[in-house]
Amino acid sequence: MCSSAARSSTVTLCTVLVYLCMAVGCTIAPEPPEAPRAVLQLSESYDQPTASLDQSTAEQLFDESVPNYTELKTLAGLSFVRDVIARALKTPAVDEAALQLDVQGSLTIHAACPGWEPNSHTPDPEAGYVDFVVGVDDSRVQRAFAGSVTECRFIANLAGERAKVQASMQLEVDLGRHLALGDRVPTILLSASQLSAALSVALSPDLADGLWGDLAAELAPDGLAFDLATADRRWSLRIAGEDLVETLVDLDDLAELDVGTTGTILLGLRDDGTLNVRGRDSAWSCGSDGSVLCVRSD
Amino acid sequence: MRALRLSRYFIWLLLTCVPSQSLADHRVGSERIDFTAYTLRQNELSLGIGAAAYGVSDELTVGTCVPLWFAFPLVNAPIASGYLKLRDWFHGPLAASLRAAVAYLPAGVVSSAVSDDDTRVGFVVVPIELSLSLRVNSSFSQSLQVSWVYVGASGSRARDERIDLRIGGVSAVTSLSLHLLSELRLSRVVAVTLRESILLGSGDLLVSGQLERAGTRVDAQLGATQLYNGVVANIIPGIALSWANINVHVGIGVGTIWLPFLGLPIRTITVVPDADFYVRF
Repeated sequence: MCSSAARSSTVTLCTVLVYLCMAVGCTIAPEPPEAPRAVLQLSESYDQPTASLDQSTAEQLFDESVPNYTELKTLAGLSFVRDVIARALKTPAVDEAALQLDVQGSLTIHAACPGWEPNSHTPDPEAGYVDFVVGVDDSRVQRAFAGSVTECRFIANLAGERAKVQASMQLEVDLGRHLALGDRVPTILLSASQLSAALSVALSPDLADGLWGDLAAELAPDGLAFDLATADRRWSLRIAGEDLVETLVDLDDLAELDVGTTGTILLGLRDDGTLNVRGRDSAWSCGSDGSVLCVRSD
Repeated sequence: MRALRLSRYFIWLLLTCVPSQSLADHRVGSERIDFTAYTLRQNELSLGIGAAAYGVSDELTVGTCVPLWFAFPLVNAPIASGYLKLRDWFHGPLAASLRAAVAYLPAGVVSSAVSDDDTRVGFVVVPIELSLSLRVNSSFSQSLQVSWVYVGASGSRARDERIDLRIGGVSAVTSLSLHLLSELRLSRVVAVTLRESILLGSGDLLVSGQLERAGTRVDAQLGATQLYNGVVANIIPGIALSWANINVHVGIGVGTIWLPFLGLPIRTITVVPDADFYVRF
């Protein structure tokens, strides 16, 4: 009797033990979100433009790639995204060796857009917002992640005029490298798709004429208004520093220019209006004073 | 020479004295209840620096972790703790028991001694232990205990005029440990003990938090894996002294320290002291 009862107790204990062992796994670290691969490939393309350039080609590109120049200026308004990401990922520096932990999971970032009056102390409730889901793996912030911009209001600088932009788009972001905790956010590459935007700028029609290429423009009471919807086209922008934004241009898309070379170039725009043109084996800096003179800068 | 004679006399007393009406550990039915499957006898009370316990019946003991009640000055709130321990009713050479405990700190305001007034911290600890004890003969007992511990914590800090930062979150971690206790009774008063602990496994440390700074909100769902690398264990030889009512356990070993009540080992290998003092009546 006693022996039978003891066996029964032992079996019960073992059963409970098995459940306890299973329960140890009840705290399992969340998996990081899958990183978008396309933006990683695009980042490599940014690092390695393929077109071969000489001075005349660079000057021709500078002179005639005005539509890209304008697009670049518009998209440069998205540079606030870098500040959002930097603010969200700002953490005290951590000694990884001392930490001795592998941290993984995700960070969901939600922030309001700057609005059309970014220096105002009163937040614009209709400024829209940006959202990102950032992966963390092996105690490092993953370099590539995805997000979106929704009804987002920001200011772009077009030919010295403040353009009010309201845009929605899907974004993929590449930070250039995985970041350790406490690392400063470096260069970021933004790849936008499903872009729809409305722009308005107090700009004279004469100046606007020709700036926008295939974009539809119409007169509005306070200037020009543009509607842009490019569901089938991907736009990209690299914020390379405080005063430099870059975009990759495939010369096949500029076939009408007949520049005599193929491949990709990197167009860089500085705050002072200087335009950089970089190819496979040379980089050129072109003035913004109306001349098309480019000087080699690499 | 006089000191040496006194020492010999003291040791002789320890090894030979047999108190009358003893409630001491080393008799059948009066075994120690930590790291074993044994419980207090009905209406028996144990008060010590680590725990206080009461025998509701020969099979059921209730108790509490004493030091947690005295954490009030640090956290501005009492840390309630208690446990129930239920053992088998056969009282044969093999004893089995299940102990479920809980320690709980409501998310009250943490004292300004450790943080500012807007910080709130709370936690809950739930250790569950399964124990088997075998009295091989009148001199030797072997106990085995498997303990599973859940530790959850929550905290928050409100934004104020000094710092534009709001933080909130919860975290959780589990662990499974095996503890072995061997007791060799040299006399009614003295027993030598050998206690070993080994970490069988641990869950990942989960952190779910929210941070808001300058209009940017970050929701974090993070986990820390590989909390422990390699074998996490300790071994502590010791001695258990038991007089009529007074009981003292002391030992010193090496390995990893298991945090009392939390049941989580720290990650540093060090000297592991072990001490307990309690009175049973």
